[in-house]
Amino acid sequence: MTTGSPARRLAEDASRSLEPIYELLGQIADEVLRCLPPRATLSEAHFSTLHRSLAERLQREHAVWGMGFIAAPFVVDGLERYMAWWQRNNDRVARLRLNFDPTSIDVYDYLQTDWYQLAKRGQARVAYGPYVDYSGSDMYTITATIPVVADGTFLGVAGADLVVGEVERKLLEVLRQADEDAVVVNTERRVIAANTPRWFVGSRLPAMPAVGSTADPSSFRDVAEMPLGTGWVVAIAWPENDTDRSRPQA
Amino acid sequence: MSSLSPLVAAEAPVGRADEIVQRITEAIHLGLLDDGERLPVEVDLAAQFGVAPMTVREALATLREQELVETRRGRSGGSFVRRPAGPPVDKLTARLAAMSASDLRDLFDEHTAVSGQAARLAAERAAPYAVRRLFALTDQLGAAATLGDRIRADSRFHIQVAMASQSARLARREANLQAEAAGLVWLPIGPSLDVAAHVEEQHAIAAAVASEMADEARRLAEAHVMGQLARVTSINLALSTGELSASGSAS
Repeated sequence: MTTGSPARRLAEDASRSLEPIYELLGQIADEVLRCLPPRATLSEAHFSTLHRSLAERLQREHAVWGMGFIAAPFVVDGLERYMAWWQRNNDRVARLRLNFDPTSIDVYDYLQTDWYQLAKRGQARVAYGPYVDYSGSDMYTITATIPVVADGTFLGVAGADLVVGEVERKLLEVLRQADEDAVVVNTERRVIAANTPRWFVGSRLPAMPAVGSTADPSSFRDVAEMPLGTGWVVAIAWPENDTDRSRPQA
Repeated sequence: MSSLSPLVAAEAPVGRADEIVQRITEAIHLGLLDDGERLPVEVDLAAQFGVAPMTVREALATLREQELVETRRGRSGGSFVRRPAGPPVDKLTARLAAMSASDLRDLFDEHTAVSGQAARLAAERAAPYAVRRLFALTDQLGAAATLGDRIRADSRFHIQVAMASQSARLARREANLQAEAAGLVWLPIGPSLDVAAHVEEQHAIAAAVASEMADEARRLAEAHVMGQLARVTSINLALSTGELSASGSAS
């Protein structure tokens, strides 16, 4: 595909519309780094500015349910798990406190989640989901994260729980520029947005979209990865042809 | 990010303090509210349940009396969950005794519909992380040492299947069904529940979800739920004839 391909153009526009989310995460990461004491180890006491700023940002940022810093083990106060995370509930902003007792069946083990693991392994921008969680006042969310690194040491992730409807709306605005059926899927081949009822949001395609001939019903006309860095892909379909579809497959 | 409060919120508006008490009590026993977790402040709880703050205050007072909630004063104060060691067997027995056999069957009908569809969609849509959680919860049920832990692992498994379906509504519905049904299924009176078989069935559901076998996942999930109805009905009948008593012993 050339740079001028229609999928490439949509992918670039779609990325641009979501870029502010990662700018926000970059600012949170910077604030975390500014909290680092010169020699001593990090403790809760160093985060008072961060807490204030998270609460303020959340008041303004309505595309986000919650955001904050999630620490790698033993980075803050020698604790295995620590988070400075704020959440919006019915327009009130409050700090989230979770059970991190590892012996409890209820422990929320974020160290095992993909949004933590992928950032830890060095993926610069992670968007995990959409998935159902007990997040904020809604339960369907996308968690976006970036690694927070100081002098080569991974300190944790800066993250935000995105309002799925808002992400959908932004992507749909872009997909609507296309005359053909177009879809955005994540690395799990899950549909995040589509300008057509041909695919439902949240469902999975049988395979990652690949360019192929019009004779192959599962192939697409044009496919491009979004430059955003999350592995999300924009795919433009061949026109749906009813006679083709009713023909028995060879 | 996980904070369990949205699953606790009622689907239909609750009006009275005792309804809020019941919902929070169930959520504590199911582990939807963690032991030691701080409850949202009164205004937020009131907004979540759609009631006046006075009603919430009344509910919290009852929960304190029942030692399910502890209120601490001061800067790091608030209302905190105190989970009892075991499920409220007497209350659950009384609730089962008050149900007719047809009420019971109807509860299982609804649960079968929700669990079956959730499992089918999970097989079509589940993310790898969600599948890993399913197997982890199956292991947790097998390893659980107390009845309370078994109930929590079991209900978490069901809720996790529904979460893996990508449907927040099904997840909420499943959580509400668990609040109603889990305590009855695990009631430690009458014929005992075969834990090993229960674990094996859940493992098979998780495996069907993992291998994207939608029809199989649905069939197994439906059978898993309906498979408990005979046992619970036999306890229900024994309670109604006085063969078993509310204290859990044969009379």
